[in-house]
Amino acid sequence: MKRRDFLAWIFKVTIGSWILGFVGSILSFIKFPKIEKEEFEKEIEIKGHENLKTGEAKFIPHLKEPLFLIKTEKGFVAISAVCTHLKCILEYNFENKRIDCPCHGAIFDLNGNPIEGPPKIPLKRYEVKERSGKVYVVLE
Amino acid sequence: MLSLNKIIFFPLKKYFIEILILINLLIQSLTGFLMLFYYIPSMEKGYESTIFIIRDVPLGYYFFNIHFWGAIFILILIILLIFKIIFYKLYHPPKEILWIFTFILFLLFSFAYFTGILLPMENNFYWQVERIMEILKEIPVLNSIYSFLFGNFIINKFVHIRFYIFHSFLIPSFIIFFLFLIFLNFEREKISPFYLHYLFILFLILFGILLTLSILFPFKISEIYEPFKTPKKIYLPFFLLPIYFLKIYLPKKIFGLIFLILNLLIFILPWVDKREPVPIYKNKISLSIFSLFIILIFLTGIFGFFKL
Repeated sequence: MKRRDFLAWIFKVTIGSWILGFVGSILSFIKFPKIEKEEFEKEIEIKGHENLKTGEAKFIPHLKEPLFLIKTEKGFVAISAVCTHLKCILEYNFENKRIDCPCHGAIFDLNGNPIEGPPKIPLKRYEVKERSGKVYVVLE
Repeated sequence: MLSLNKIIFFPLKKYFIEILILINLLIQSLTGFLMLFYYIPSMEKGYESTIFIIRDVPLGYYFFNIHFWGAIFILILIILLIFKIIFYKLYHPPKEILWIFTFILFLLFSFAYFTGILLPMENNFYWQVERIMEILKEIPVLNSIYSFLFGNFIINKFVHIRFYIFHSFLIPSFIIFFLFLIFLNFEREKISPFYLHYLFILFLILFGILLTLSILFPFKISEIYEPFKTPKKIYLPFFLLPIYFLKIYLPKKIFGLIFLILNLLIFILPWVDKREPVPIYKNKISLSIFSLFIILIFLTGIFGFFKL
């Protein structure tokens, strides 16, 4: 390799790394930051559970994972309120003790299993912890 | 005397659809730019300011509705352009790059629709965005691009401001760039300042159509978005209905794969189809395949509509 070629090569590499760094820094700025982890806790405390009667449910409007807290005879049950078919928000049907989907008429039982309609995957269930009279739902 | 024949079969009739897209884009840019004066890009104020544009700003009602109908029109036009290129086999070398630009333009326009409908923060549109995200999640390459730009398929204030930036600045600039590249492929002798008045006439006609549509069938804006109450029926734009049909009837993983393969096949069409560039209507077999393809798209779209 001649000296002239070598210098030209170094010049190209310098310019190339400059451009790469420039594009890379812009892309790393544009890349969507991981905000969800900071914004959402793993455990949420549920308020107003004392007023629930057996068979009643409370809708918890959690932004990431909306869910129902249902009071059964055995205790509290937390079930996801998002349909597994196309992610519609479900409605709790108190009279028939089931969970209905407004979009395509799907029906889930209180254990989250699909009874009718297009969804085949059962609803996600969350662990419920009771500590000194307070109710917590463990997400994830 | 002006006659319809003269307007439609004007000297540039070879590029009729492309020019209509250009004029429609002009209308979209104008109405969109004017609405930027009043729109407040935030999740809380977005709905309020949209209502303000529609109700209180002079002519805001018309600008909003023309922008809405123009978006649907421009998507129809770009799909017609894709069909035209397939029909006349204009994708043959050395014009394969034209085909790719058109396809990218289609993706950009549909992405502009997707980002635009979130901005009013209106309930039906909000859930439309959620539903489109649900489809997007399953498509292998597109979902990683999406999550790079907009995160984890959740709508929050950061996503909203990004949608705003993309809709009002980034996508329009990319669209203008690719449209310019397509116009560079035109035959030079067909571009002449003597045809400018034809463009003006076309502009008036298109503007008239959009104005009529927006007066007769204005977009009925409903309540502010409710993230925890799904409406009974979530509508989708017409060009997504066939994809929605596939999404419903195919298992999760297969849907994304099939969609990606179909897209790739369309993308590399110039390199797959190496036959002589004879227009489709001159060959009975390719004509029947083409019409079958179109009928299939229509049927899946109609079935998808009834399954919404």
